[in-house]
Amino acid sequence: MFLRSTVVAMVALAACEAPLDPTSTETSTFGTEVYIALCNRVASSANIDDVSGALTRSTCTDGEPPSAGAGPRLKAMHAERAGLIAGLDAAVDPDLASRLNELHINMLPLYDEGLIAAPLRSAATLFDTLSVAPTALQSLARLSHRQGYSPPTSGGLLRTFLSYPRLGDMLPALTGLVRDGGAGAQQWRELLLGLSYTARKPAAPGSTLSLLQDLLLREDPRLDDGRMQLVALRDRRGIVKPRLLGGLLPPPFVDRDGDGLADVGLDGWFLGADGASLDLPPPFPAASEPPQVTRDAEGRLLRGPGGGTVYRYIDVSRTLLGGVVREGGDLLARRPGLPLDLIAGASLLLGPPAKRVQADPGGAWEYLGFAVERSPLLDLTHAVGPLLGKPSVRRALLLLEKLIQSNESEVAAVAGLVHDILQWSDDKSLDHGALEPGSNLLDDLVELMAEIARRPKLLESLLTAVEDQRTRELGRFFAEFLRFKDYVTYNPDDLNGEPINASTSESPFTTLKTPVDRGQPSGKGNRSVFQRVLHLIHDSNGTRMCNKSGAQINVAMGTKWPMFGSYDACKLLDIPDMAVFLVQVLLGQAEMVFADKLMDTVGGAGMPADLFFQMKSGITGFKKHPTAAGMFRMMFAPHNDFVKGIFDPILTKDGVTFTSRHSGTIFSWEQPGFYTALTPLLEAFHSGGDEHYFAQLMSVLHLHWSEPGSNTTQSVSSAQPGFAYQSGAVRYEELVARILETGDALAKVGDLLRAASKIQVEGVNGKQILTDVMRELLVAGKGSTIVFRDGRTFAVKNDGQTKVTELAPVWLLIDAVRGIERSLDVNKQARQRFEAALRSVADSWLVVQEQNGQHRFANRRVPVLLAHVIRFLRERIEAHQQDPAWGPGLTHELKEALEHPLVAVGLRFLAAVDGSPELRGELERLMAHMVGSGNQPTMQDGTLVGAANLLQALSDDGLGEIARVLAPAFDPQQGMVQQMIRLVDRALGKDPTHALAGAMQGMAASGQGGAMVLDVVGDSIAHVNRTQAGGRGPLTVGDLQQVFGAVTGFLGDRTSGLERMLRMVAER
Amino acid sequence: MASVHGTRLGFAFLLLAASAGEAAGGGLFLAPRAVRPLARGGAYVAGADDVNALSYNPAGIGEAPNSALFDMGLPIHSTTFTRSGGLPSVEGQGFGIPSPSVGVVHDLGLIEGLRFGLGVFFDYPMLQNWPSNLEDGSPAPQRYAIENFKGSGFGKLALGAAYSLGEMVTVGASFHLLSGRFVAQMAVSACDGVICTQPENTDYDATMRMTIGSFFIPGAQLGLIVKPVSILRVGLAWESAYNFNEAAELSMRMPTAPMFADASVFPEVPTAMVKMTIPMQLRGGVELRPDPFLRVEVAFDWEKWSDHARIDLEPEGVGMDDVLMLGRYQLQAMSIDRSFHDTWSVRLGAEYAPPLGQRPLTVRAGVAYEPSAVPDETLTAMTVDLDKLIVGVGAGYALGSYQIELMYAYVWMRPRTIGDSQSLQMNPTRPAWDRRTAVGNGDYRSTAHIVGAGASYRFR
Repeated sequence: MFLRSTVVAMVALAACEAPLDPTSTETSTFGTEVYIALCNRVASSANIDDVSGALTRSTCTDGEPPSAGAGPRLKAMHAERAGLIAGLDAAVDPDLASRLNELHINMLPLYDEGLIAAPLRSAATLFDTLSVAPTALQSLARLSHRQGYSPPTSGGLLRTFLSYPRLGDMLPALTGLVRDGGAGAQQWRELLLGLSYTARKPAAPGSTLSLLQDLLLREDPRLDDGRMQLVALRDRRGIVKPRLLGGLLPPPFVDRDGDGLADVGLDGWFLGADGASLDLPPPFPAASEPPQVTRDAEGRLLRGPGGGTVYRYIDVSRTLLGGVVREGGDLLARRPGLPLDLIAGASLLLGPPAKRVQADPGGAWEYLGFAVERSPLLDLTHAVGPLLGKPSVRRALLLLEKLIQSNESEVAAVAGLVHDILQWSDDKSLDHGALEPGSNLLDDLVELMAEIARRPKLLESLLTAVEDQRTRELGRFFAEFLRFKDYVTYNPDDLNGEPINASTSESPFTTLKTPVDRGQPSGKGNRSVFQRVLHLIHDSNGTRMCNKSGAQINVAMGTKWPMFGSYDACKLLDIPDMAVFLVQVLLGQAEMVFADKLMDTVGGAGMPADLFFQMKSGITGFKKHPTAAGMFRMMFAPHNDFVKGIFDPILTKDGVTFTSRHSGTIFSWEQPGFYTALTPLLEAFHSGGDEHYFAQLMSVLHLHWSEPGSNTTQSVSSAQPGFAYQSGAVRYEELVARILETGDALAKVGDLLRAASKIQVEGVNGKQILTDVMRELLVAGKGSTIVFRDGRTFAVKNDGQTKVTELAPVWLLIDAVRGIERSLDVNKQARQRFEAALRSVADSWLVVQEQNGQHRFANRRVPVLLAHVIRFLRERIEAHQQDPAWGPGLTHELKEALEHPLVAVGLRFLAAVDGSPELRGELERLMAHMVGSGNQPTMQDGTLVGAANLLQALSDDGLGEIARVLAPAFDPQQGMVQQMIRLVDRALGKDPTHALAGAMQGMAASGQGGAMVLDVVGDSIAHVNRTQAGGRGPLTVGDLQQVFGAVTGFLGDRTSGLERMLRMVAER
Repeated sequence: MASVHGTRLGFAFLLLAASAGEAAGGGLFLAPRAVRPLARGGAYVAGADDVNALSYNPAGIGEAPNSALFDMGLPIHSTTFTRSGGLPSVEGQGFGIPSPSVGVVHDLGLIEGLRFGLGVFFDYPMLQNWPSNLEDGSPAPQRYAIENFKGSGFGKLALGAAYSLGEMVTVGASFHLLSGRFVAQMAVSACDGVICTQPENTDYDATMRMTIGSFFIPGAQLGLIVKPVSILRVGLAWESAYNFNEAAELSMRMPTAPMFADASVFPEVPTAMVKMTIPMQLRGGVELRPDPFLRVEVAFDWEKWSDHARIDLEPEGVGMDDVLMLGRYQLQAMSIDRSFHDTWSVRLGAEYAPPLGQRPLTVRAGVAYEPSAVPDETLTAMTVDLDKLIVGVGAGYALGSYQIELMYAYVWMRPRTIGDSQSLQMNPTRPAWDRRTAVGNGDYRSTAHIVGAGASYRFR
C-alpha cells in the first residue's frame, strides 16, 4: 500500500486526468449524410493522399463550391448536391431512416447466410458483363436518348407501382408465394426459366407491336378528358419523330438514307447534314437545362419563341390507350378482380395443359404448357381469319363505324338490349334450365338459315321485314304467346264471331291471362300458346290437305255435285303443304284451287265460289280465297253437312285430327293487330315463294321445344307420331318473352336495320352488306376449301353424330364456340369468374341511357373506343386486301405467339397468384391503385404515360442485346432475381415496420423538379461517373462503360466497396 | 444535437498505450534512473554500494552502509514530430514531474555479512504528453499514436538482501514489485472504408482513454560482485522480465459522424486484459578503484526487447450498442505488432573525491550510449525511443552522517526520419482496413535535460 499510495500521490501532483469531453454530433438529414459520404468517396478517389479530406471538407460537408483546381468529378458531385439531398430527404424522412436502420440491424444474420452477398455479387457480374458488351452498350446508349421523352413529373409505371401504399403488405405475400417451398415456387421457377429463355432468344420487334402502337397511340379528340398527358412520339426505332414542315423533314434533320426517318448515328444521336451528331435538347426539359432552350408551357421544345414544336408529341389521354386505362380504372372499381378473372377463364381457351419441352442452348427444359393444337381460341381465329379477307366484312366494319358515328341511338339500343339479355340470363326468376346436352337446336337452325341464305333475296326480305314498322309489335304478341297458355277457341255460339278465352271464360277474347305454370312439367294443359302454335305448324308442315274420298258438294236442297259419283281423295282439292297454305291464308294470298273448274269459278248454285262456300259452310271467310279466321274455323269447328261432304276432319302429319291435338290454340292469333304485325315477316317468306321456310323454322323450333318427359311429344322414334328431340328450348320461354317484350328486341333490331339501310358503303346498301356477311358466314362458297384446323372436312353437330359435310365458316365458328364451352367447363369456378367478369365489362360498356326515345351509351368512351378499334381492324383488312393469305395466316401467327413458353409459364404463375387469396387481394388493390380513377388521378396518369412509353420503347431493336446480357439474372437457381427474392423474403420477416417497402416508396417520391428520386439518384451517379463528369445529355458508350465500371468497382471493391462491408458484417 | 457518449470503452488499439507503461528497459526509458547512478552515466553495476543497488545490482546492498536515501530527478523532455505529408510540427512534452527514489539499507544485526535493502524507485519514462489539437483547432497529426499519458505514474518496490561470502564475493537478490497507475489517451479512427473512405476523416475520430488503476507485477533481480583484487570490482546483475497481464478500464468519446449518434459502450464499466512483456535485462560492469578516492566503471547493459514483440488485448465482453446499421459491435481480442529488437547500452562513469579537507566532496561524471530498441517500422510518437547519448555530471557533499547529491544529465537523441512506418492507425473495424494510414512516418527530434538532487543518511 505504501507503493500505491506513493504512486497515487505522484499522480495527484500531475492532476491532469480530466474526464473526456462529450461528443458533439451535428445531426443532419438523411440526404445530407448520404451526400457527404458520396462526396467524400468521390474526393477520396480523386486525391487518395488527402487522407483526412481536409482539402474538400468545405465542399463535401459544408456545401461550398469546390476550388478551381478540384477534379471534374467533385465539381459534378457538387452540382448534384441540392438535387440529391432534396431527393433523398423526400424519400427517407427521419422516421423511415430510423426504421431502415433497425431493419438492417435485424438483417445482419442474413449476411452470415450469404443471402445479401449473393445478389450483390450477381449484380456486380452483370454490370461487369454489360460494361464489356459493345452491342448492348450501344443499345443502352441509344436508350439513353429516351431521357426527356416525357415530362419529368409525369411518373411512369415504376413510380406508380412503387407508390402503392400497401407495398409492405404486398411484398411478403409475393415472396411467401414464390419462396422455396411456397405454393407458387414451381410456377415461379418456370417463369424465371421462361424469362431467361426469352432474354436469351428475344424476338425482334415485329409488325404486331407496330400495329399495337398504331392502335393504342392514335389520338382521337373525342377521348379528350381534359387531363393532358404528353409524351414524345417515337418512330419504329424508338426515336422521337421530328415534326414535319409541309410534309418534309426540316433542318437540321436529314434523311440521307431515304428511309423516311431522320438519320441517327449508332449511338442514337440525330445526324446533321454534315454527318455530325446534332446536340439537340430532348423533347421535354432535362435537369439543369440551359435557359436559352425555348419551350412552351407544356415543356415542348420549340423552334424558337412562337415557333412550332421541333418534335412530334401525343397527348396519350386522347388515345385508345388512354381510353383503355381510364376505362380500366372504372372497371376495376366495379370489379377489382376483373383482370385475374378474365385471365383465369381465358387461360382455359389456350388448350388443355400439356407438358412441353423447350430446346435451349442452355439445356432443354420442361414446363407445363398448352396443347395449342386443341385451343378453341385458335379455332375461333381459324374460323374468323378467312372472313376478314372478304370485301363484305370490310364493308360491314365500315358500316358499323358509320353507324356508331351517325346512329349511336340505334347501335346503343341494341347494345343495351344485349346488356339486358346478359342481365336477364342471371335472373333466377327467368332461369328454368338449359338446353339438353347434345341438342342440335342451334345446328338445325343454322342449317335452316344456310338454306334460307341460299335463297335469292330471302335474307334481304327477312331483314326488310324486321325493319318494317309493323313488325315492331310482333315481339309483344310473341311474348304473350310465350308466357300464357290460355285455351282460346271459336265461339260455339257465334262461330263467326270473336273467339273466346275458354280458360278465363272471357268472351270475346281480348288478351291471354293464364300463365304457364313453370313449376309444373311442360305438357298437356301446361304448354304456352307459342309452344302449341309451333306444334300446330309443325303438324301442318308438309301435310297434305285434300278433299275426302267420296267427296260431294252439297249444292242445295239435296242436290250434290257431282251429280253422279263423287270425287276421289284429292281430286277436287289438293293442298300439298298445309303450312305453306296457312301462311298464304294469313297473308290473304291463299287460294283453294279446285280441280273442278266449275267449283273453281262459280258455285254449284250459280253463285260466285266465295259466296257459295261461305254460305254453304256457314263459316265466314272459308272461301276460295280463305281468310285466316275462316280457315281456322273450318279446321277446328264442327263441320256442317256441306263441309262434311267435302272434308274429313283435317289431320296432322301424324294422322290425328287437328281438333284433337291443337284445339284452343290458333285462335289466340286473332288478337287485334297480330296479323298486321306478322304480315311483313310472312310476306318475306311469301315474296319468293319460300313460305315453307317459315314452316320449317317453326318446325325446327317445335322439334327442339319440348323437354324430356313431355306428354305431348316423344323422342324415342322419329318414325312414330309426336316425335320431337325434346331439347328443352321451352325452358327459355320466359327469357325470350322478356327479350321480346321488355327488351323490345324486334323494334330495336329493326331500327338498327333501318338505319343501316340508309347508309351506303362503296355504293352498297347497308342492309345488303349485312346479308352479304350473313351469306359469307352461312354458305359455303363455290369450290370452298374450308376445313377445320385439324384437317377435318366435315362438322359434327352437337349430338356428336350428325355430320355436316357442306362446311361454311359458321360451322367453324360454332365448333370453336363449343370448344370454348367445353374448355370453360373444365374448370367451373374459372368459368363462373370469367363470365362474371365479362358481365362486369358489359355492365360498364353496354349500359344505355334513353331519353325521348333516343338511346346513348352511358359510358361515353364506349362509342369512341369501339369506333377506334373497328377502324383499326378495317384498315388492317384494307392493308392486306391483296394478300389472301393474310387472314388465314393470323391463326398461325397467334399459334406461334401462344406457343411461346413465356405465355404458358406466365399464365401458370398468374394462376398461382390467383390461388393465393392474400396476394390476389394485394394485386387487385395494386391495379386499382395504378389505374383506378378514384381519388388518385395522378397515379392513373402516371400509369398511362408509363404504358405509352413502354409501348414505344419496346420497338427498340437494341433491347434484344440488352436482354441477352441480362438473361443470367433470371436463372431460377442462382440468378440475381431469385437471389433477390430469397433475400427480400427473409428480410421482410425481419421488417415489422415495413421499412423496406417504405424505402421503395420513397424512391418513387418527387425530388427536385418533380422527378422521381430513383431517377435523381441514378442520374447523379451517371453525371458524376461519365467520361466528361458533370456533362448532361445522353450517355455515350464510353460514358456507360465508365459508369458501369464505377458501379462494378464499388460492388466488388474489397477495400472500400460493398465487398468490404460484407466482410465487416461477417466479422462483426 | 449534442450528445454525451459512454465514457468507457475498451478497444484493442488502446493497448498500444499500455506499451508506454514499461517500468524498465532502454526502449521505454529516457535514461538510467536515480541521481547518483545517472551522474555516473548509469555505470553502476560493479560499483553499486548504496540504496540504488536495489535496482542496479542487489549484490551492491552488501557493499552499502546502513543508510537511508531519498533523491529526485526531474526530466525536462521535449520532442518535435513533423509528420509526413506536409502536416504541421507538433511538440510532445515529458510529464514534468520528478521521479523520486527512496530506500534504506541495514544489516539489522542478524548475521554478519548479511544486509537488507528496501526501496521505492521511479524511473525516467520516455512517455510524453502531446496536444490533442493544434492551436487552430485542427486535430494534432500524432493523435493516432498518442495524445497523452496524463494521470499515469508507476514505480517499483524493491526488497533485497546481499550476503558477503568473504572478502571477495558478494551475492544479492531482490524481489521487485512493479506498480502504479497508467492512463493513455489517443485518437482512434472508426472509418469503415465504405461509408467513410478517408481514413483520417476527423468525423470518424474517436478519443480513447485506457486506465489501469493499479497493478502489481512481480519481478526479481540477482546480483554478484566479485573483488579479486582491491582495485578491481566486477559486477553482474540479472533482472527478470515483467509479464504484464492487467485489467484496464476504458473510456471513449464517440466520433461525431452520424452513424455513432446513438451509439454507446457496454458494459457500463468496460474492461480489457492487457498482456505484454517487459523484458529481462543483463548488466555487467567493471570498476577500477586505483585509489580510495577515484572510481571508474565501465558497464554494459543488454535488454531483451525482442520479447516485446506484441501487445495483446482481450476485451472482456466489451462492445458498442446502437451503431448505425450494425447495432451491437462486439470487440474481439487483438494483437498489436511492436517488433522491438534487443538493445544494449555501454556506459562509462567515474567518481572522484578531490583532496579538499576531509574530502567531503565527490564529483561524478559519466556517459552512456544506447541505441533505440524500436525499429523504424514501429516508431511512433507514443514512445520516441531514439539512439541516445547521455552525458551526466554530479556531485556529492558529506555533512557528517548526511550526504547531499546533485546531478545534471543531458540526453542527446539522434534525429530520425521515418518513411516506411508500419504502425497503422488504430481502427476497430474488422477486418483490418487496407487503407489505414501509417502514423509513424515523419521526422523525430528529441532532447532531454534531467536535473536531480538527493540526500542520504548513514546510520551509526
